[in-house]
Formats: sequence, C-alpha cells, structure tokens
Amino acid sequence: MTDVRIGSLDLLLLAAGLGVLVAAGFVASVRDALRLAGLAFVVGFALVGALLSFVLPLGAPMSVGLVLAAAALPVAAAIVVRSRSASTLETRPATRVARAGRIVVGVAAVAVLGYLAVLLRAVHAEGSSNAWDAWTFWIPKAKTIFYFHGLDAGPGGITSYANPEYPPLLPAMDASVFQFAGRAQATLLPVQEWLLAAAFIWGLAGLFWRRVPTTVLAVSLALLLFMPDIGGTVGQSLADLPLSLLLGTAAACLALWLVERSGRYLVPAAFLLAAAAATKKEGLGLAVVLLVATAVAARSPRRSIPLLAPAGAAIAAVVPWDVWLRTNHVVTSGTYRLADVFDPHFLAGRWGRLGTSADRVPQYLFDVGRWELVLPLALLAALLVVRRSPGPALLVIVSTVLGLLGLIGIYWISFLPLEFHLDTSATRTVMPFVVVGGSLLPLLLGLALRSGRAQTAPV
Amino acid sequence: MPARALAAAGLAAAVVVSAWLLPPSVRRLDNRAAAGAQLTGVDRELPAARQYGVPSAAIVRLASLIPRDAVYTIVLPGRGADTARLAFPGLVADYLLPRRNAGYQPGAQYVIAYREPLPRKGLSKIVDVGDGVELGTVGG
Repeated sequence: MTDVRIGSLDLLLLAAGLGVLVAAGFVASVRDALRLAGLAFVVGFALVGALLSFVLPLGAPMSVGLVLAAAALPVAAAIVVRSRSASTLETRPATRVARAGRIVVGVAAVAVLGYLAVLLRAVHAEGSSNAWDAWTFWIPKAKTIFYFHGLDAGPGGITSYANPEYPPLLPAMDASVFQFAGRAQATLLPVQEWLLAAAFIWGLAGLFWRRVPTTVLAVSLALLLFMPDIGGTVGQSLADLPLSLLLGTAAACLALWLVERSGRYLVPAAFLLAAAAATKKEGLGLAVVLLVATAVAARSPRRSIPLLAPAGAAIAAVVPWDVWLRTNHVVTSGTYRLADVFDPHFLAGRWGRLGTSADRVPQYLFDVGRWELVLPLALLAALLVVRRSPGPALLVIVSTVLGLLGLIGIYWISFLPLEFHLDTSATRTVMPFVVVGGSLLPLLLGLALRSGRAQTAPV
Repeated sequence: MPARALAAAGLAAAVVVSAWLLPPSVRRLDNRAAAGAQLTGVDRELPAARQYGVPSAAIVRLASLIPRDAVYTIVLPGRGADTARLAFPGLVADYLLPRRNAGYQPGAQYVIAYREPLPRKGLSKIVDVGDGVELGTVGG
C-alpha cells in the first residue's frame, strides 16, 4: 500500500512537470510526453519543491493537500494555455543511424539500463542513508516538517539541527514522501532519489533527442551516469546530488535557449533554478553563476534580458525562507561570510589558504577516479566548437571557470581549518560543476563530431 | 589534428576510462546491495548506528519509554571523542522524533545519559535502558 501511495506522489510530480512542459509548448502528443517524461519528472520535482519552499515559511501547514495544490497549479495552467495555443516546439526529423551506430546505441542503452537496475537494487537494499549529514540534519529536518506539520522553530524543530539556515526544499520534498506514506520512514527516500537520477538521464535524452546524433547522445549519457561519484551518492539523502541534477537540467535548457533562441526553454529553467536556490545555501549562488555564464554566452546584454525571469524566480524562491529565518531569530552556522571577500586585511591574513585551495580544488574537480573524463571532455569539445557555436561552448567554459574561482574563493575565506573543510566537503561542492559540464556534453560533443559539411549548419 | 579527430580521440579516451572504472563501480554497488540485504528492522532505519557502534536496540527502547509528545535532553560524558559518543545524540534526535530534543534549553521532561551515570538529584525515576544508556524522569 505504501508503494502505491508513493507511486501516486511520483505520478503527481510527473503530472506537474508535464503541465509546465505542455504550457510552455514542449508537448503536443503522447509521443512528446513520453520522450520528455524524464524532464517532466525533474521539472515537477523542482516546481513542487520550490512552491513548498515558498509557502512553508509563510506558515502553510504541511499536508498531502498542500502537495496536491502545488502540483495542481501547473496542470491547471497547462489546460488553460493548451486550450489557447497548440503551438509546440519545432522538431527536426531524427537522422538515420548507421548499422554500427545502432550497435553502439544498443550497447550504451543496455549498459545504462543495467547500471540503473544495479543502482536501484543497491539503494533499495541499503535502506536509510548512513551519510553523516543525512541523519544528523537532512532526514531529521524532513521528519520535523512531517511531524510538526510545517516549519517549527521550537525545541526539536527544524532549526535545532545542524546548518539551520539551509533552505527547506529537500526536507520538504522528503516530508512529502512521508506525508504520502503516512509515516516518517527514511528507508523510503533512497529509491526516490534514484528515480530523480534516472529521470535526469531520461530528461537529457528527451531534450537533446532531435539535436544530437543518437550514438553521441547514448554514449555521452552513459559516460555521465557511470561517473563513480554519481552512483556512490544516489540514495545518500544528501542535497548535493539533487542540487547538481537540477542545475544540470537547467544548464541543458539554457544551452538550448542559446542555440534555438526559443524563450520556452526559460520556463523549465526558471523552475529548476528556483528549486536549486531553495535546495542548499550555495544554491542561489550556483544559479547565478549559471545565469551569468549564459549571459556571457549570449554575447549581447539585450539578448540576455529574458534571463532576468529565471533570475527573479531563483531569488523569489528563497525570500520567504530568508524572512522566516530572521523572524525566528535563527542563529546560522555559516562557515564563511561573503563580505570578507572585500576585506583586504582578512584576505591577506590567510594568503596561504589561497595557494592550497587553488592547488587542491582543481584536483577534486578533475579527479578521474570520481568523475572520469566527463568534464575535461566537455571542455575539450567546447574549445573545439567555441568559434562556430559559441553559445553552449561559452556556457560550459564560463560556468566551470566561475565555479572553480568561486570554490577557491570560498575555501580561502572559510572559517574552518582548510584541510578539514576540503576533506569533508570538496568532493561534494565540485559535483554541480561536473554535472553541469556533463549535462552539456551530448550537445557539445554532437557539435564537435559533426562532419565538415554539417558544420556549416546553423546551431 | 582536425577538430573532429581531436573530439573523437577525446571521446575514445573517456570511453576507455569509463569502461575501466565501471566494473569496480558496479562491484561497489553489488557490495552495497549485499551488505544492505543483511540488515533487518531498525538497522535499515538506522544503519549509521551500526557503522558508529551506537547501540540501536537502546534507542528503540528509549522510543518505547518516552511518550511521543515529550521533551528530553541528552547527557554525554565530558571526555572522550570516539565516534559512538559523537554519533549518539544525532541518532537519538533523529529516531526519537516527534519527541523533542530540548538541547541546552530548559523544559526537558526526560534525561537520557550515555556512558555517564545520571545524577539522582531532580529525577524521580531512573531506568537502566541497557548498553550504557540510562533514562531519567524529571520531577519529584
């Protein structure tokens, strides 16, 4: 019975995401809906999560009804918009795949499905996460939302756990699982995280289906999924993976916006970035990094104006939470203060940290044992196509450089002992940038591997 | 080397590395599945207790002794930084919800002690929960 209830929540997230995609003009047929079902699930997760993060600090009581209402909004919007306009995204006919290519696609597809099956078996068998941050604050925070029917700043409430300033999206979404299950059972969460990871891969496949040769798409997505630290993190009930998947999907939408100049890609991007901002403290900064990189890649301030919409969504998503923290006088456990970046005395006093950070952070970012060659390959492809297709190429180059500099800067100004801070966080803080690069890999590789004749085609 | 050949070479290198690292990755997942299959009941809900040597059975007994709407606090030995001592409060705070952990704030109706005898003063009743855990009821 619990499985049926959780399944209904997942269907609800799918319906919410499909509502967004229908309203934005992505879906005109059942075939489109199936192709984009993975994207729909990720967008539905983002939308419901962002809405819950917005209304819970305003005092809304957590309930199944609240989740239903959050999901119903986009479905209603889809019905209204769909009745007015039936325009959908232009799609190109799929290119014929040669026999050798079909074999490659088949092998990659079987490998991806097989790996997902092994991953599902592992996360299902393990039960609840044993990651320190999961049971010391992420999961208990979700339980407080479930048991105390919303955000509770009293003893034992959401603010009595570590990192009380972290925004509430992940605890709220985990609490949704508990609401639908009827009990706070943490063993239910890992499979939900697996579902999000699988939907992410499916979502990228659906987004790039008509734009990237099938062989390149299949191999790129296999490379992305097989990164050891992705498999190792699924089911850990930590926010880093959902945050990375949200940003990766947003990056794919923004890259396609750069390529196709179709504003409808900004609709899912706005919800995905809003959700990213509400997932972790650094989420808003990461969303801004992605949007700044997109603006640079657009190479025109005027053409970048539409990016203000997703930027506004990301900021709006965390405003109620910020107000709630202040209203309830929550003492934050910040490990750094951004204002210190402008304090020369402070920076000079920890000059040695800069050298160590600049040395160590790139090692984490390009650690082959954790991330294989996915990010280097994405950067190589970006460099190869930057002249003829600057949009997506600059997006990955600029976001990686900004991310690298940002992380080095954070470790420079952090109050924690540097080695301890790096050892306990760097493998996770680099993940969003690796996943963003990996998410753009199919598109960039598809462009880089185009034949000379096809290279002249507009992108 | 033309750009296309460079991209192809990069892709080939990435595929080789991925193929090299995939078997150990799958083995790790298999090991996770096998280890998970050994877990039952509370160990599936609190796998970290097993990992850090915290007595999960005592935590389950605490849940049966403390009413769901009660407020409690935890007393730990002042010395020692072994992982069980560090992990105990977090695991208790997680598992005992919706019972509220008062932390350092006043108002606790129950006091939980781990590897530390409870002071008799101010407590009306003390229960030996086992595994080094004691539960005191405030009052009297």
